[in-house]
Amino acid sequence: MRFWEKYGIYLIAITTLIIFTILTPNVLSLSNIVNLLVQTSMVAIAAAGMTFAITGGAFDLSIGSILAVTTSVLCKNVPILGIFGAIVLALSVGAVLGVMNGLIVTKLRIQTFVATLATQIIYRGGVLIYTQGRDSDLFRYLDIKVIAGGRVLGLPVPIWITFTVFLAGYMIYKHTQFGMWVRAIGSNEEAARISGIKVDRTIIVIFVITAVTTVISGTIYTSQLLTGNGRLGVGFELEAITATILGGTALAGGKGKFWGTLTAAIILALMKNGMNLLGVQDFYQRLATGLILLLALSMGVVSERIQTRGNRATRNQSGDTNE
Amino acid sequence: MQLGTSQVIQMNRKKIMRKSGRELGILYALIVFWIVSFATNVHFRNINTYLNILRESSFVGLAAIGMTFCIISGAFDLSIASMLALLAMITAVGVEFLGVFPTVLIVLTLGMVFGAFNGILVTKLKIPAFIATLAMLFIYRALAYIYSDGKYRQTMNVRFTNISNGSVLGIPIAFVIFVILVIVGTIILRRTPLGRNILAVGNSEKASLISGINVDLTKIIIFSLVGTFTAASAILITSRLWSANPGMKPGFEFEVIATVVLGGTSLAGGKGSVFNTFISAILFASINTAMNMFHVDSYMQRIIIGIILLFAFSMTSIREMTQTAVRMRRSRQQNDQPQEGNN
Amino acid sequence: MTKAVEIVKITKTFPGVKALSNVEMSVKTGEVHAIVGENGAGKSTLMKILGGVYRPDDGQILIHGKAVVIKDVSDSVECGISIIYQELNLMPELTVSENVFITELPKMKATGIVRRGELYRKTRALMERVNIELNPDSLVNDLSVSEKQMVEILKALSHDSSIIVMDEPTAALSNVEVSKLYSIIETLKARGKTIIYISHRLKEIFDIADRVTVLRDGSFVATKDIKSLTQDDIVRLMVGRSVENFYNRDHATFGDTVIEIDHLSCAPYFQNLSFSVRSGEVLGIAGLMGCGREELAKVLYGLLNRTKGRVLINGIPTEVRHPREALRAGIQFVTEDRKDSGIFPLMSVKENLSINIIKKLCNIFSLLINTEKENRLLESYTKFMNLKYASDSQRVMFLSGGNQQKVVLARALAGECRVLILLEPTRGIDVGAKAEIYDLLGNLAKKGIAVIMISSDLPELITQSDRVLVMFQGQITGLLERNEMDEERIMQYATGTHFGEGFTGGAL
Repeated sequence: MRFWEKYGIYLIAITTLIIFTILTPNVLSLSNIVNLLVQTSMVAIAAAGMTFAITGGAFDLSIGSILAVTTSVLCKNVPILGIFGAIVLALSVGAVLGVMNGLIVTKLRIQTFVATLATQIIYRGGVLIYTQGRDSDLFRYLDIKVIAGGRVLGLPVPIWITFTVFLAGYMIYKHTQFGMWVRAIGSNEEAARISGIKVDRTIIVIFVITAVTTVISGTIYTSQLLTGNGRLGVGFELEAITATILGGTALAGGKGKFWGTLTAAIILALMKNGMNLLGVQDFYQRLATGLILLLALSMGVVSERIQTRGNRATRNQSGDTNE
Repeated sequence: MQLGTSQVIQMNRKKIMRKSGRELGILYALIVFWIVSFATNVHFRNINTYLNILRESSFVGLAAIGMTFCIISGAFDLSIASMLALLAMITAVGVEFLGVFPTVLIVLTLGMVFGAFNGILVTKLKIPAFIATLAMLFIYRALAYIYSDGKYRQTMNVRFTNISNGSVLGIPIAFVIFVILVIVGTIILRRTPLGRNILAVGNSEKASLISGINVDLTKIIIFSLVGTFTAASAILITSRLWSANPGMKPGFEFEVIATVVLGGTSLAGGKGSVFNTFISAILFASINTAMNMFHVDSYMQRIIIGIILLFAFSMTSIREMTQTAVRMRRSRQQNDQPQEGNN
Repeated sequence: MTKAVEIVKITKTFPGVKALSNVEMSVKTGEVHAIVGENGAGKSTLMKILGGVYRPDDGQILIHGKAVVIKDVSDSVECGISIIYQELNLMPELTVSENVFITELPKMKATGIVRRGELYRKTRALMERVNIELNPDSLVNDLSVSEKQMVEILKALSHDSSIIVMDEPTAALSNVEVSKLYSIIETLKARGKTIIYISHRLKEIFDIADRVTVLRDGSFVATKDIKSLTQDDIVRLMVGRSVENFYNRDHATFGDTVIEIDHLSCAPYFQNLSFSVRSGEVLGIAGLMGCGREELAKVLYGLLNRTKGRVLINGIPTEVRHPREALRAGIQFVTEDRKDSGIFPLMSVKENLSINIIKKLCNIFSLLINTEKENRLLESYTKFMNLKYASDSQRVMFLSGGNQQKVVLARALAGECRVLILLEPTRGIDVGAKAEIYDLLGNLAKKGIAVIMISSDLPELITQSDRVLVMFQGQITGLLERNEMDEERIMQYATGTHFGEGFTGGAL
């Protein structure tokens, strides 16, 4: 079962790929693969942030609204501040929203899940007021297209960004104090507190990370579509959570799987892409997303159950009876 | 260590007063809100405004009764908005073909079945309730689109639309239904073994197991109650709108959860009251009405709702903090005085 | 000698419980200072205040003569205090070295990346200093309990604190490991560290402590030189009166066998257990943690499934796979973890009492609960058990521990009760309530109930049981009649040393 836990996600990826290759040969064309990876990048980057959050035992449901905030801030400010200035502004706004989430969770002591549910509504209300409910666009500022469309060494920029984000994320997760603290908190928050870990501060940083990664996703999104409005990104948080959980990050916290998240994001994009090529209606695609999420969830439970059974046996040998 | 009788009575009275002060807070809030609105806005001096508030409160309120059980048990159901859309589509179609009564029966039954399905995911597959119902949120919504082919449905059945738009003796029928179901809900919670089991599961699942309660079955019943009450909401809303569409009522689950939590039901589970949910629903409808009458921008309205939500969610911890502060102060005072025995 | 720790008038209240009231004590620099007291005496609360987990309602703490305010864990570490808690506080998904140095990880200056090599070396060096052998890179999740305890000790030593508090550090250790811990303590003492040592095991205290402080019901009783005391003296101070008068009950006459356990096994917890309990009899079960006695109770009550053997109730083989079936067969169960699985904290006393039999309290023609009947039930048990509460609707969480325990017991008795299984029936309750529960136990036996009592409290077992069954590693090693019971013998059977070797136990 250890094998399944470690490599299961890659098996699923290969199987999906094979199925869609048989159904639609176009899937494997080079242009489609590159296209697919670019599509993946938007969910994947935010999912990297979400992987941190879920590892630390937190959920951020407000990222869909933060995505809308990003697109709107960019579209309204690129004409004024230029591309670079607007992106810096968007990142700062994102960081502030993340800090707000973190403060609400830690200081008002509300469960992350519920707190970010509320801020999701608030942020969306805020961005709708900011844009007065209207679309804005960057059709006259095509320079920004370089982010989504430019290529470095033959590969599109978003793929490089994704790769960098995941590499950095993995390094932070595995090899820095912050990463260890996140794992410690997700693993046993009470023990982490007693060990002297600054739990509140770490949780606030986690929310900054989810917000900032979402801003990066949102920037790629804007540069690709060149429009922004306050209604974008509904359900985006669910896609990110689905990728994270499907990738094998434990819902109970403590164990994050960055490469699993990335692979899962690719699988999800692949399925979407394949279904589009097959002409499957949008409704059925949503149904499929929900079903996949459920499948991913129950899979985790099944393997966990088998694991605890194993644990119990070994634990007894060492003479512990505490459940 | 026996306390004197008079002492006990005095303690009782104090406790009861404190208790009512805490648990009827929402009722006082509603009264204050009405008085302020009455004083500041001319529309609030018209009886029809209040009747309308009562009518509007029923739609969220009905689903909130079911959600009260769910939150008491320590879970919540996020799928109800999508479930409502699906059930509303079925209602709109059913009324045209089958008539009012059979449709109502079928939709209520379907609601129960959908809810039970959620419950099975939570208990048998052991998926945490919020995540399981999050997934079901997608699925029910997709099914609503598939069922309706993405189109909205109208109903012209006046007998049906009269349910939510008509009145008896001047009182909106929808509100009458709401009140009846609030009474039913209160009886279920306070006076039946099922209600006790729900409370017990919300207090401690382990202790419930030891007490011989079938925890899984109780949870499945709770989710079917949520589904059934959501179905009732779906029927009334369809009747109110004369129509249904597959994308309707996004965010309905937040309104419902906020209503329940604002009513004092603890998100941590274990305690709660259907009556307070009832008052809270009326308060929410009043706030919405007032925001419209004061011409609050619709986007601003969302922010206000979100802030109310946050406030409601943090009420438990705010209360806890003040209690700790009070306790610390009291112990300091006590230390200045000579020690007395405590039991 | 100077004073390392002075505690001045510390008070701490939890909802419904006064955990500490006006506690004053002081610890000299460089000594091993033991703190003893019954469960619920406030030892752990006091330590958590030192550790910054709780904040006192009132009072003052002086460290090395300086008044300090300990707001959180890092304040405590800054004051030079390290604490080894009773419950393990490890992060299972992290490695040993990560756990030990979680707040003091060696980092590269430029990138903030943790130096794995140095972390490994630091952990090794620390282990060598105190002679502990573990792999710094193994996941804590994969360690045994005693190894985890060692990690906990390393964690406390990692800060190089001057004051080290150990809260029941030997609870999960074997004899060999206990002597290793002693030598660690000796080493630390030789290097001038101050050690506060909390334990139930009086033997240990005489082995290593210089002075001892006794707490009772949240209050300070005395601080004495260990050399001036005997074990009996300490017990007397802890209990507040002489032990002989305190424990005692009339022993009823026994009837027929009520429950018979026949070659019962539950792999991997216990194998091949056979014994029986007669009506009116109290059978005590003794054994150390992990001997399988909790699992035995769980199997009898249907919380765990047996793998082999039979259970006979009144001579009839009875299948119990779920608590529901146990209740139907007249088996009642009182858990050892009152807070977690005993009470329904937010429900009223009445609702807590009636939950097991709520269906029987309904009107025949409807599904509604008959409040009349329910009130009568409450009244009768309030009288019978001498329950104390402020009002009918008072939530159980606001009652004292003793009253909560009585409510849980009353719930068990309210249903049909032929066999009563009690796990640690007096854990964490005050002396008065304890006496009342013993009285009650006598009454129940007289009524013909068969009682199975599992307890770590040896004096309790010895005075309250008619027979004591001792378990070791999932097997019965001894069955002692009234005249054969003494602490020493029980500990010999419980540690598997009854074939002649000495023992180091002596748990109270």
